[in-house]
Amino acid sequence: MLTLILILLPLAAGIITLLSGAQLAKKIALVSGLAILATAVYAWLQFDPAAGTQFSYQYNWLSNGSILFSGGMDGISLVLVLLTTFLTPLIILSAFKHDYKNSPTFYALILFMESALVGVFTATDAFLFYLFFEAALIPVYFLAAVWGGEHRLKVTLKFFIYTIFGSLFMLVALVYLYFQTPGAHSSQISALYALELSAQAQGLIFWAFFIAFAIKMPLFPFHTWQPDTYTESPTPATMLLSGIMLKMGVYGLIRLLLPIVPDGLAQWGMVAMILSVIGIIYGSIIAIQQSDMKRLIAYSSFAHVGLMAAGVFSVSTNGLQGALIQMLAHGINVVGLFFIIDIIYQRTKTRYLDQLGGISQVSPQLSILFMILLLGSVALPLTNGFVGEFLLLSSVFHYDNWLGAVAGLTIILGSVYMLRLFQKSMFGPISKWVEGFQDLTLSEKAVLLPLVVMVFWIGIYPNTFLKITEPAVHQLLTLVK
Amino acid sequence: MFPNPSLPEVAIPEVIKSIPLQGYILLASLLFVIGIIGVLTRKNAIVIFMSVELMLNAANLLLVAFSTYRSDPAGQVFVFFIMAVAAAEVAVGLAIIVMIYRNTRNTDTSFLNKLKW
Amino acid sequence: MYPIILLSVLGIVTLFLGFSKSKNVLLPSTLVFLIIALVGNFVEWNQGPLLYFYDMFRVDNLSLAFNGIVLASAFMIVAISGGFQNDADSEPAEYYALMLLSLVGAIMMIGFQHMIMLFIGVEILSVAMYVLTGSNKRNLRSNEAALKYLLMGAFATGFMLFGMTLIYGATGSFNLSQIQAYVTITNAATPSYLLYAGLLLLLIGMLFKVSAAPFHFWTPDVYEGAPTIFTAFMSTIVKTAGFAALYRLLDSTFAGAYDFWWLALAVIAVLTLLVGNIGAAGQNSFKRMMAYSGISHAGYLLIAVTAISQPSQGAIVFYSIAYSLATICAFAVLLLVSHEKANNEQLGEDYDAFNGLAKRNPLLAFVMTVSMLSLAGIPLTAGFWGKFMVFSSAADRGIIWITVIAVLMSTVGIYYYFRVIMASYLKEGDLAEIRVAPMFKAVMVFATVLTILFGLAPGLFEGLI
Repeated sequence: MLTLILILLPLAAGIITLLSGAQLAKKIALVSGLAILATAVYAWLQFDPAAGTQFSYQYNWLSNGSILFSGGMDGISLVLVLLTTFLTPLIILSAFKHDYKNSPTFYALILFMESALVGVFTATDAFLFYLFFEAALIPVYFLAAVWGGEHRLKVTLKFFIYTIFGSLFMLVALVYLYFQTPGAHSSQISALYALELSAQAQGLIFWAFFIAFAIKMPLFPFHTWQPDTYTESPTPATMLLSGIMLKMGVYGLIRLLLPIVPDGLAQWGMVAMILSVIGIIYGSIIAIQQSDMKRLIAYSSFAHVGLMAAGVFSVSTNGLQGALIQMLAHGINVVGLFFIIDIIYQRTKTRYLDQLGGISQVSPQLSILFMILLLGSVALPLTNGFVGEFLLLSSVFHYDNWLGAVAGLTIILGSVYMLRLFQKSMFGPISKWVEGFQDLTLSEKAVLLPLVVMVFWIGIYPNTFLKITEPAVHQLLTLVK
Repeated sequence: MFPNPSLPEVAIPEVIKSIPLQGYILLASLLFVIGIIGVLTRKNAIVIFMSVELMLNAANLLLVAFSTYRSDPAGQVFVFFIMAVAAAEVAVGLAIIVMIYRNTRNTDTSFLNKLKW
Repeated sequence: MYPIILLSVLGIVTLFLGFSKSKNVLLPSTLVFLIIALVGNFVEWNQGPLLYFYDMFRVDNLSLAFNGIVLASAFMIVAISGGFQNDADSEPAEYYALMLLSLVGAIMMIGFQHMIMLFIGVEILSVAMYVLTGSNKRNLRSNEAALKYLLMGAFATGFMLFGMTLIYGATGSFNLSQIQAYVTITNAATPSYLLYAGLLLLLIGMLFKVSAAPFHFWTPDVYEGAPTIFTAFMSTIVKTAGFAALYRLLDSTFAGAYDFWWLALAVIAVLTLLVGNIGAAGQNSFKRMMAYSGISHAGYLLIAVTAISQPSQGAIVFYSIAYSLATICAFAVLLLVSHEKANNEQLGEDYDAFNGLAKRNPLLAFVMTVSMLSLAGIPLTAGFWGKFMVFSSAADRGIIWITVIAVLMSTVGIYYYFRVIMASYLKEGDLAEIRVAPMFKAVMVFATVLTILFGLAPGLFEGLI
């Protein structure tokens, strides 16, 4: 029941926001965002990691009960719900200073998005999962297409068609699986786990799922929509896309692909793994050459998600746990980084590294917080990135030494592009664009400080979250083996 | 050449019986094909319309033949329906052609180019 | 059976109402007549299969459901016709009478049990539509569309009739149950080529009517040339009735010859999808795009027909509902944004007509968005479940490859449907506000709410049927 509340609350809040005036809208959105976070935290406190799926709801939906409107949370779902509900109010708050035209619609769309995302992470019915998976696209499409940059029309349409295209393959696979279930058919994800499929069918379904999720994350070579979309979208939409929506893809791999088609994974896992590792290196190298900061972070995000996928494909406790904790870490870091870039852009009207410089002298607070988030991103020990990256790399090593060695380059490459970003923007002589730069305002600090706290929390005591997910991960792995 | 459908042994007028059923099928098919060719190749709306009528009459002829060979009146009743409906269709069709003629002084279909054909 | 009689009588009554001085009485009375017909239709709900008119007409829940869709669509279309009062040349009484009478044809097609019934139904519907297509007498585009529709329609009728004749020759009957008996028993033992040839010709005729490729080429011209309100009528009612007839023909009667026709139909379905979607993507005129989109939706419906089975029955009904609702909304908005005049210039029917719609009237933009999303099959709308059911019925039959092609094609669909959404939200247009009559608003809100409701809870629909 609690799960359903977490889905409906943002929906209701979104509708109220939509109907309210421009002044009130952002406040309503923020307050309801916080209320939803409180609900999620309450769920966390009530949660018993050992007890499997909890807070379930279930209603008849279609075909006389063989397709259910049902959901619930296990450990994996819970951490992602926490991430979503934690980031959404921050994203709303980060938009406060902008004067978006038609702001009630803007904030309402963010809340609708939150509802759909929670829906994806908690659905226990495959078709419900699919429904939310697609539904999450609609608000973010409008956010990007209406409030985005100059080339938004072309870029967002490409993004939309690309992602829908991928997920339609998943739909075909799900429909096929549904008809394979015995008796009156069932589309419960757990029922799909129980299927015994031929090796050939598994191979095909593997690719159907893989394409759907690989486009969403995105993995190499399905990433071409990503940098443009991230760059053209307004920053809150970019944060939603990179901070949370990307995780839908990884979550899909964990929830559907691994347990349903273990044989398919055995056949094709190596290919998927290689693609992921190529993505890591490719993304990092391109990130090093970027001069547009938003694009740089976009490519870094692409590189990071490659590592998460590699961890998932390694099918080990370390890999899955690492991917989960890295999803949290990456969500937090990337939202923080995009926000800082937005702050810089707001004050200097440029995002280009060669035009910036010397910000640390005029704005020490900003540069400190920037540094912390950045170090989290390059996985320095004691920051959140370290735990995840360590677990992930060890799992990839375990899977294949060579691949592990190549993937390990990410640490070096990551610190190269991140430190280059920091050095070019923060140090050096004060460029003319930076003159008159103000330090952080209160509302900006209110966004960044919680993020920084989380960077250290996860970095220093990751067990808070690892403990939640561990039983669920073990259970999942027994299904795969 | 054509399979002979199982026919009941009933009294059929000798004149009709002297021509095998296949003959009727062949003739009707020929008329039908001529009608199709007419529709596809002619440009004048009225000629196209006549070709369509030829197709309908091919069907009528065949219906009567089948009906007689089977001594089953249903086929012949159908023919009456077809004739009545075809008349209605012609009435509407000629009205449309007249309407176009008033607007363009022509009944040639190549004049119809306002819409991409 | 009641709606046939009711509509025949009430259609003539409408014609006579035209003699009255006041033209304002026509629209409300037509709406009332349609409601009467709807009520009359559902009187027989759950009465089981009934046969009327010497076993020539069949009433069961499926045909009643199709009748319901057709009548309700007609109701909505009549409601947005606005009484044809902005056009001095129009003859509202005749238009309404023709619409009501054409519905008789549609209902006969839906419930036919005898080939004569099918033939007459098709003709009643088609002849009325020829007239309505050409109803804009001074407009050359409308004339041209009418003539093309007439010639192609008559051509298709020829095929249909010859097909029926051959089937009669093979089976000795026009009655579906006797044909079915022949197909399942005699034909299974010794296949009759006469029967197969007849079935093929009959199918060609029917596919012409539902505008499946390669028999679709008349559709874009006719849809574009006809007055928008009648285009809406054609694209919803004619299509629904056509598919109901096709389903009735193939589901039980020719189920015994499934091995013969399924591959042909599957190929046609794929071809239709390709032609419809790729054709639609290349259009600049919204109305023409809707015509191609109609073709592509015929393709999806054909998949369900190809995979004929228990689930495909529900799929066809649901798909027809979703498609009709969305199409009526789309044409309603088009009616409001385009400036239809009796001249031969290009009308305001391009995508550009929707530019800046969100500013001119947010409600219209929202209605349009939902209807486009539904046509594109995006989740949370009825259209998604329509596609879902179609795909499931194909998967149930084990025809996965066709589903994959359909999926690829529906991605193409997103491209052209989203052009409308982008135009209305993201492009600047002229800023004159659009005034919407209450009747329009009611129809659009009703259809949009239903689209979303079915999108969220498709189970509601299963409770209905």
